[in-house]
Amino acid sequence: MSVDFSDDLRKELGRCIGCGACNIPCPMFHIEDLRETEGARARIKLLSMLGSGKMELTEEFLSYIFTCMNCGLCSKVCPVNIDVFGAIINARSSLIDMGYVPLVTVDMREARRSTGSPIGEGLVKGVWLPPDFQPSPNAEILYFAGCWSHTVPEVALASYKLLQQVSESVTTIGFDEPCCGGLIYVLGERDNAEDSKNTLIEAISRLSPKSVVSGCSLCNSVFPDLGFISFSSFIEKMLDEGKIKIRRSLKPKRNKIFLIPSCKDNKLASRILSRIKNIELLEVPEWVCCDCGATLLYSTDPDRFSRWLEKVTDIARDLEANQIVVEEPSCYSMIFKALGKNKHKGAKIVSFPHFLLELIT
Amino acid sequence: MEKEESVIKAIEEIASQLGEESVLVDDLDRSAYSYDASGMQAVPSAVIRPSTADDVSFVVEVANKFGIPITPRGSGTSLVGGPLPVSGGFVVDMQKMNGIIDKDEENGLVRVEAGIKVRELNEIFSDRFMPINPDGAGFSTVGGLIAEDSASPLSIRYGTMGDLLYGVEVVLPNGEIILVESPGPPSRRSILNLLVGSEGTLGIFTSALLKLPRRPENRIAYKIELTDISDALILQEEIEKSGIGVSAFEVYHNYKELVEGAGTEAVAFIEISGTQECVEIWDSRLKSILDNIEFPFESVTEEKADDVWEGRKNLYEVAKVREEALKVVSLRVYPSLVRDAVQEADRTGSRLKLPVISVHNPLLGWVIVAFLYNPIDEKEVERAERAVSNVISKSISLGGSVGYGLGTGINKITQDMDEGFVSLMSIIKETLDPSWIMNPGKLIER
Repeated sequence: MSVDFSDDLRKELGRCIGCGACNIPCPMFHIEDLRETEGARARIKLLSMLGSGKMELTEEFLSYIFTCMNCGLCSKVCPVNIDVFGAIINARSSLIDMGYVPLVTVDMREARRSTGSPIGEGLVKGVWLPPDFQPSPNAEILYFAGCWSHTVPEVALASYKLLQQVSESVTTIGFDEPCCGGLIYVLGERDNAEDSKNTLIEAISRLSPKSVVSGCSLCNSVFPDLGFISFSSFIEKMLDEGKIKIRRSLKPKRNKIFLIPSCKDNKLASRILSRIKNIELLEVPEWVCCDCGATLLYSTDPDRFSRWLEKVTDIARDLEANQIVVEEPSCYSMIFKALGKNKHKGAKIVSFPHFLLELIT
Repeated sequence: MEKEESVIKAIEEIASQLGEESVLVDDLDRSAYSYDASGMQAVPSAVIRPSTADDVSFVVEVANKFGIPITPRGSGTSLVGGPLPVSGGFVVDMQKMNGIIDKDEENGLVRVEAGIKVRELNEIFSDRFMPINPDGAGFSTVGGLIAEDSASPLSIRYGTMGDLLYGVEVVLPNGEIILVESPGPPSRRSILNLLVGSEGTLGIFTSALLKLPRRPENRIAYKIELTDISDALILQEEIEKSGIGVSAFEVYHNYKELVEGAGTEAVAFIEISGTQECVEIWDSRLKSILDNIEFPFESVTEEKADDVWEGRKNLYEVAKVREEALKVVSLRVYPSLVRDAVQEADRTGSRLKLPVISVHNPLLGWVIVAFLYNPIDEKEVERAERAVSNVISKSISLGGSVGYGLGTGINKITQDMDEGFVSLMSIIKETLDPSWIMNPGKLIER
């Protein structure tokens, strides 16, 4: 099968000078033992070969293009300013427009059609809320949990409680919270993603909150026009303004912290944590991010996610971490699902909101 | 493509020894190892990923038995096609061999596996560093840098990769593992220089002993606007006469015009570094030179010097601003001919209708020429390739050499460039590698 990419996309792919800078922060490249094929550079180069007819499109190729960690770290380092991840998303959506839908995304598409969320697997939203919960209009803060947070109710609840420390007027959409569409956007389904986003905008505008804090940072990075503020950014702002304070310090044997940061801004959470008096923040390799995009990998190739997890927790163990703090709910949820417990290799695995809540209240 | 029977047999033998996961044969993997940073392409029959020198030795023995070409590869950052399997066969990906074997902090020595990247090496000692590739992201591997005898803007002071090398373990084309290392620091009779810059044609490096220089205490970087390429030569002469200890000196020609649309013809970046006393004296001397010849400049110290270092990325900056791809060639000429070489590159560019930028190091006579082209316009791609070979032949007629600091790769050294080198190298090659299985199609022609 051959493909017909637009001239703009072909040129963007062809501009790659092949320096390999994008492999350095690429989690896939590191998990798979520096195998060139798995790095961001190969995805760009192979797509370029596909676009110029030097390679044929196969099911394997298609699945390869759709299954990276989707962290976007590759886009931040290109010396010739290619938006590497953006080009991959563009290629995915062109392939879908041409009718090449990879088998690996079929379950997600189906889940989205039947449940409104690509996560599927009988996702029930809002179990962390009282059964008679009703959203309040005109609140100061609306907490948009995001699909992933609903899979780990304790994380959603901790986030909600933290926001309640800032303001008495906090609400959330609740049981029928729509999906933001961010995940299906990065998987190339632009139209469906746009529909999801618009449904969400309608639901929010009915409640007309003053601001929206998003539990997961994928939606605001994909759709900055939503005007959401990410949970971590909001917490940092509140700490700066003195509206919340870190009151406690860590117990002596619990203070070596290995942070798995969000790939959207991998400095933010460590800035917040460094305010804790006796914390010892361990240095984490730049390719370690919490990878909301591994969702697809987890459902289609759980072994690969497990390899990532083993590699990351090995590093944490070598650094003698006693707590692994996971910034994003998606990542925390997948780790929890993969391990079935929250202790691994001598470290306690804890979500960022939960970790903060204990120190702030 | 049907694989030859011998290739299939060799793959089976290697897979049974190294494990299936260390031999990649599917289309995606083979394509992923078909490029580097040169813009050229060649697809291997298989990719082998060894973990030890013994693995490498086994692979080489098997390849030899079946007469299959092997091409070693580090991070694939070569600008000249060094790791491309132009005669087919196996690519040997050295990246899994990336450990630090031991280190001697007192003497600044470190023994590393060949697949380690510069950036990782630079993290080992806080006060010492590997000055090769200091400005890029540093993801080239040590093995690749030795093979190409890489240089950097700091080569004025620290030399090329070969100058940092105290010993190397190499797997010869017959599979033998040899440690080329004196008991002490290398003596003048060192045979290391034969291997340095041999571009993977005489063996595969598996580990290396390096001597890392100390990071200077103080640095000042200067950005100087030059009206004309001759200004750089005046500046070079003045600097040499005054004895200023320059650690880096690079001139970007056509840079401002290509990036900003207009402006001065050339921009120079200079760095001085050393103890505070030295740096203060050199700084005042350099400033008086610059004032005398009335070159506008800015200077920055310490951490901010890195901002000026960013300038070297400006070769990429041009590609970034103009959204075009780059074809690069590296030359070395006597300083008096730098201007001619740069003008020749300009002429080639205007004749073939390709924007061109050249970066030269006046003290070394090192000139890197980069042509910008539209990667999806086949005619333009072909013109860019023609431009590179044109610059090479012009440089030879000027009396220059090709490949300094980057290697020659698939451009190769021919009889008319350097007869003595080609004759002797051919004899050595025939002796060590009679079947020419080691990275054929690079450095010299059979």
